[in-house]
Amino acid sequence: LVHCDDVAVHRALARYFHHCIGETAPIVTTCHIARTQEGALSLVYDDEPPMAVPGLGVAYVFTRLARDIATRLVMHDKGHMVFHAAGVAHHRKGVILCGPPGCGKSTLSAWLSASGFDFLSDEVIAVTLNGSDHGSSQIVAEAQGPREMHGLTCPIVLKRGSAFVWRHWLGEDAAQEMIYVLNDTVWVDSESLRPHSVRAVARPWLLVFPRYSAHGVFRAQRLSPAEVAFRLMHQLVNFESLPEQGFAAITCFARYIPAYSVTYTDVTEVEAWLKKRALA
Amino acid sequence: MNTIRNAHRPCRAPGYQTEILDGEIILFNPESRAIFHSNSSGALIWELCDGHRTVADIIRMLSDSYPEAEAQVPGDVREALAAFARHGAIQWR
Repeated sequence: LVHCDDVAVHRALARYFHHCIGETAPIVTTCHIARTQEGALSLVYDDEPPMAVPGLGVAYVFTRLARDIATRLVMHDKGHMVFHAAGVAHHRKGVILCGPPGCGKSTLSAWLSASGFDFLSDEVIAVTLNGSDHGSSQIVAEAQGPREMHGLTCPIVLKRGSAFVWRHWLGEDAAQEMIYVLNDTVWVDSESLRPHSVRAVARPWLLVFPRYSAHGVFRAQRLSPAEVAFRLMHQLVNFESLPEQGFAAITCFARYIPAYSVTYTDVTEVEAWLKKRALA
Repeated sequence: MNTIRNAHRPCRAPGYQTEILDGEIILFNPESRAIFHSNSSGALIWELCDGHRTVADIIRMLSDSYPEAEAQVPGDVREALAAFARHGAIQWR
C-alpha cells in the first residue's frame, strides 16, 4: 500500500504502477512518500526505520519502490516459483525470457509487447506450483497439469543500448515525457508502447534463455531438461520459501516446458522465430 | 586431489539431492546451493560411486557395457569424476 501526498509524484505513480494495483493483493507493508519542506522526497515504510537519505529524487524513489515491491511480494511466496525473468504471451501462450542481467530480457519483452505480444513483466515472473512440486518430483504426469504464469508488471527499464525500441515505436518526441534514471536508462510504460498490451496471466508455453550477440548469427538450440533445471535454479528468487529450496519444483517444471537457448543480433529475429516457429 | 588413480574409490558425498532428467543428472546441495549437471555418462558414473568400487572397476564396468566406446571410457570417467570432485559431490576412499 503506497500513500503519497505529492500530486506530481502521485500522478507518476498512477501512470507507471497502475498495473501493480489490485484490490485482492495482500498488503505486506505500507509505504509513505512525502515532499519535505526542503523540496526533497522522503520514503518511509511502516516496518522499517525512516530512510535517512536526503534529497531523494523521483527516479530514485521509483527505482527503490519497484525493487521493494518485487522483493516484498515474492520473497515469502510459497505458492509459486518466482524467477528473475521477463514474460510475454501470444494468444495466451506464455513465453518466459530468463537469464542474467544484460541478456536482453527487458529489450525483448518491450519489443515483443509493442509488436503484438501481451506483456506480463520485464523483471519478475511467478509460475504456480503443482501438487507434485511440493514433494516427490517422480510423478511426471502431475507435472504436466495446468500451470499459470503471472508477471509483476512495472515500468520496463530500458538501458541506453535499447533506446531503439521506444524510438522505433514512440518516436523521438516521447523522450520529453520519460523518466530518466541513470546513464540514459529510461522507464517505459508498456501501455504506451501498445495500449492494452498488459496481461496478468498466461499459460507457460515456452522458456527462452536469450543471449544478445552483436556479431553472431541467430541460433535457437533446444535445451535438455537437466540443462533447463540447472539454469532455472540460478534464476529462482524465492528458493528459501520453497521445499528443498525449490529443487523438486524446478526439476518438475523442467521436465515438461520446452526450452531453448537463443542467440540473436536483432530483436526482430526473435519475434519472427517465436511467431512462425516456436509458438505456431 | 590432482590425479585420479585407478585404485581410488570415489564415494557420493552426503547432502546432495539428485534428479535424472531424460538420462542426464542434475545434482544440488541445499546447504551450499552448489548445483551442476552432467550428461548420461555422468549419471551412470555417479550411480557407480559407492565408495567400494575403484576407478578401474568403474572403467571396466562401463567398457563392458559399451564395448563400442571402450577407447573413450577411461577419459570420460576421469573427466566426470574430476567434475564431481570439483563441486564436492564425491569423496575419495
